[in-house]
This record gives sequence, C-alpha cells and structure tokens, in this order.
Amino acid sequence: MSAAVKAAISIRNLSYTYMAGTPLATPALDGVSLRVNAGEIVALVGQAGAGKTTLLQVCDGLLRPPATGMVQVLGIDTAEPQALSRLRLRVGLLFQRAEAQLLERFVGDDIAFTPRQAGLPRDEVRERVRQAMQAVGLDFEEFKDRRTFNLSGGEMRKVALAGLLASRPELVLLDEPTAGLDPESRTSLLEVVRRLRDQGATIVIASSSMEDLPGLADRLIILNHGRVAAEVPGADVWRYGPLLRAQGLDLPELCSIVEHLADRGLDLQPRSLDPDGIAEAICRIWTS
Amino acid sequence: MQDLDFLRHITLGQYFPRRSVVHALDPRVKLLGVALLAAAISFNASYAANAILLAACFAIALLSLISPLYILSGLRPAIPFIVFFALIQVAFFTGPYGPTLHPRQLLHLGALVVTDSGVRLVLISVARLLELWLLTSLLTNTTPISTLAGGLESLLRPLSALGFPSHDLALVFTLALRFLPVFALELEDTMKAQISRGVQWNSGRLAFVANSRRIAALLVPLFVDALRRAEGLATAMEARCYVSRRRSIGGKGHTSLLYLRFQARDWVALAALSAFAGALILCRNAFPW
Repeated sequence: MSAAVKAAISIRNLSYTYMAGTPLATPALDGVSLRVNAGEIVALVGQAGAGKTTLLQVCDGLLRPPATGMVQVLGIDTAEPQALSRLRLRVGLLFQRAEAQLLERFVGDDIAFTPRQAGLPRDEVRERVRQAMQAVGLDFEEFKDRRTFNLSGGEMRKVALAGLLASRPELVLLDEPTAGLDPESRTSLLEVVRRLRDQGATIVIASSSMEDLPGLADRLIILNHGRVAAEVPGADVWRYGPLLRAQGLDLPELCSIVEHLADRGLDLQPRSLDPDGIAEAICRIWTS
Repeated sequence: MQDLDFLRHITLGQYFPRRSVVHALDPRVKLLGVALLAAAISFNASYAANAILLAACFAIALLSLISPLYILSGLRPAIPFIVFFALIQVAFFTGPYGPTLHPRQLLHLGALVVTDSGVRLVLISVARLLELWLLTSLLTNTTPISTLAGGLESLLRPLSALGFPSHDLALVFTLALRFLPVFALELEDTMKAQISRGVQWNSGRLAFVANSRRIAALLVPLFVDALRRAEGLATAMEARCYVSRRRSIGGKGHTSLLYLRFQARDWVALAALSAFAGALILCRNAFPW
C-alpha cells in the first residue's frame, strides 16, 4: 500500500475488553491492526460479537483504548482527551439504534445540533439542514417541526442520517446502516453513501450481512472474535467464497452466481458486482 | 475521556456464576438471610456491632468467591451524594444517637456544631450503606434472577390464600432486576450517541453539577425507549400465552422448571444466620461503643 496515500484511520495492536477488571470481563478486540485510506469505502464484516461496533466506537473516541494500542483518526490520537471534541466534529457515527442518537424535540433542531455545536452561522445551519433532509428524502417544510420522538423507526433513522450529513464529516462510520430498512430506504441510503464517497469522504461500514457491500466497498475487512481474520478486495469478493464461508459469512446471491459460473470455467470478470455490471458481462461474452 | 463502559460499575442485578457454598444455597435461605441481617443492621447503632456486621458481609462475599471490594466499587458513582449528606449530618445533627445518649461538642463555629453523636450518625450510616449494598448485591450476584423470583414466590405463597398476588409480585421483581443492566446499557448507548454528536459530558470532581443540565436530554430518549420496551415486553408475554396466575383457570395455570427443596446445608445456613442476627438484635444494647 502506498505510504503517500493519507490514512484516515490507523490502528496498531488495539485490544479492548468490556467490563475489564470485573468477573464478567468480555474481550471484544484482540490485537487489531488496520489502516483505512482517505477517500476509501471499507466494510467491516463479521458475525455478531466479532467486534465491529466496538471498533467503530473506539475510532470515535467513545471507548478508551488501553495504553498498549494506538488509534489515530484523521491524524488525531484518540488517547488525547482534549482533541476528542475537535475530532468528533469531523467524524460522523451512525449508531445501530438510531433513536438513541436523537436528542432534540423537533426534527429540524435535531439535525442542526452538530452544526450548531461547531458554531456555524444561522443561515448556513439552516441551509445544511435543508440539504441534509433533502439528501435522505425528508421534506424540509413537512418534517422540520415534527416531534422527533413521534416519528416511526425508519423516519428516526433518516433523521439520524440527516444529522450526520449536516455536519459534513470527513470520516463517516456507519453501524449496520441497512439493518431493518425497507428496500426503498435501503436503496436511498446506499445512494447517500455513494454520494458521500463522490464528495471525498472516507466511509467505514460495519455489517454482519454481505448484502450490498461487494458493489459498494473498496475493501472488506473480516473480523472474527475480535481479530482481523482477512482482507478482501471489494471488486473481486466472489473469488473469496470459501474464505468467507470459513468465517461464518456468505456471498450475496449475485456474487454466488459469478462464483458458480467461474467454477464451471466461465470467468465473467464483471465491471461491477451489481445487476447492471453482471448483465453487461454476460452480454459481452454472449455477443463475442 | 469518559469511561463509557457503564456495565462495569453495575454490581447490583448481575449474576456471577461460581462454584461456591453461597451460590449452592436455596434462594429462600438467601432471601431470609438478607432480611434477618438487614434487621440486625437496622437495630444496631454501635460501632462494635457494625464492625462485626461489616466483617460478616465481607466473609459472605469471600465465601461467594466474589471480591467484596469489587461489589463496593458499584457505589462509586454515589460517592458525591454520600459525601454531601454526610457533611450536612455532621454539621447540623446534635441530638443523642445510639449509645451516645449525651452528645459531646467537638467543634463550635457559629451555627455549625459538630458533636460526637453527629459523627457517629455519619459513620454508622455509611457502615449500614456498605453492609446493605454488599448483602443485596451478593443476593443477585450469587443467584440467577429467575431462581430468586422462584424463591420469593415460594416464600410469599402462603399469602396467596388471602388473595395476595405472590406470583405477579415475583414477576415484577424479576423484571425490575433483569432490566437494570439493560437500562445501564441503553443509557450508555444514548450517552455515546450524544457525545458522538458533540454533546460535552464533563468528567472530574464537580462533573455531576455541570452535567445535571444535560441529564434532561438524556432522560427523554431513555424513557421513550423504556416505555417502548415495556410495551413490547407486555405484548410479547401475551403473545407467548402469559396470563396472570390469578386470572388463570383455577389459579393453577403455571408450572415451573424450578424445583426448590431444602437440603441439610440450607438448614445449617439458616440456623447460623438466624442465631447470628438474633444475637446481634438481642444484645444491641450490650455494646459499650
């Protein structure tokens, strides 16, 4: 990997244990070392309890890493307490339970929370809120004065995502962002992620499901029992079926088709791992 | 940086599996033992009796193979409040207390009068708090919640004949204890989510004063979540055919996996605890200091 590429996240030998020093101590991360380059989309995949959420929360400085490990996020060492509030204005973390993330009574105020914390002028805050709501498919006029805690689960997640977008983060950490979403909301969320990438943000997605990831992530980092078990390039993920299955994961349907065809001697070499890319590869072979 | 691993500080309501004598006891013995010792703690206001009781609580913790200091660490978040109330009591309590029938002035500074009875009140109150905290924590640390509820229901069963809802009460007790760590986790989640969005929670000596203004923003989502969870739990229980025993056919709708039967060690433990607590209650005036 080229050293010239700036690292958004750099982690060395990180271990973390929940309830450390108690009879119920539970190790979550064990000697994790990884690097996420600026502008990359990286997926952290693994079964439940693999340490994905812990890793994201360590990156946002919410969990205190022990003295042995080193965590640098956007060039800031998370062991420095004074730097953390500055760091969090540049990092957006979407929690698995979006409702935990909402804290203001009205939708507009909630989305404006982080920009206001950053001390932005009123007009800019309003503009950011409008754009963020538009990006997640919430009508500004209709939703800005709605009560946050009366929203449905899906709407709450959209508000949480809009709150993240309004802060215009350089690093976006998404914890199981598509879990429990209906197909339309899922598509729109993936669209938001792609747009964020186009705008130059670094994105880390933690997910226990491989669905949606192959066509989206540049790299997949597989976690197993708190350790990095493997790293797989997103574009060629279908070549790693046996490795993924050994880690308790499975390829999405589309990738499985590409894998099965390759096993039968037909290497599609799709441009992208989405229906469009695969259809194009089949047509190319068919016509040649 | 905040230490946002809240469950580490919740010692009450957690079950720690161990192969110890205390773990093996019948839950009814533990419940009666806690009640007897709590009575002994309430009756004794002397230093000597409380030293004995505190030593007994430490001994029970050691017999349970759980560090008493770890259990006491659960009280750490309450230290500012304990110190605050202790100072108020020391500064203003002047009446007789326990064996100190004639309070002696130790310090007199304007309206501030410190007496030996005020000091006794504070020290005995702290000792009682430590003893009760150790006992109640050990009760849940050494007994799974469902077993504890079964024991409680069994103890209250004689009252069912009078229409007392013993089963329902045991269920409420189980759920309340069961959800203590769950709420700690939810509080942790909500705080983390808010901090990640730029909310500043202070740490340090007077952090609780600075943070009190932010607590409201924390309580609303927490209560919304708690009410949703309660509603979901009630629906789930109904969907899984739960009916209150009082409303079930003939009052005999429920069976239990838990089969409680006193063994020799239970009788021995109950006798020892009764003798110990009884002796301390009867001799409460015999301690000179």
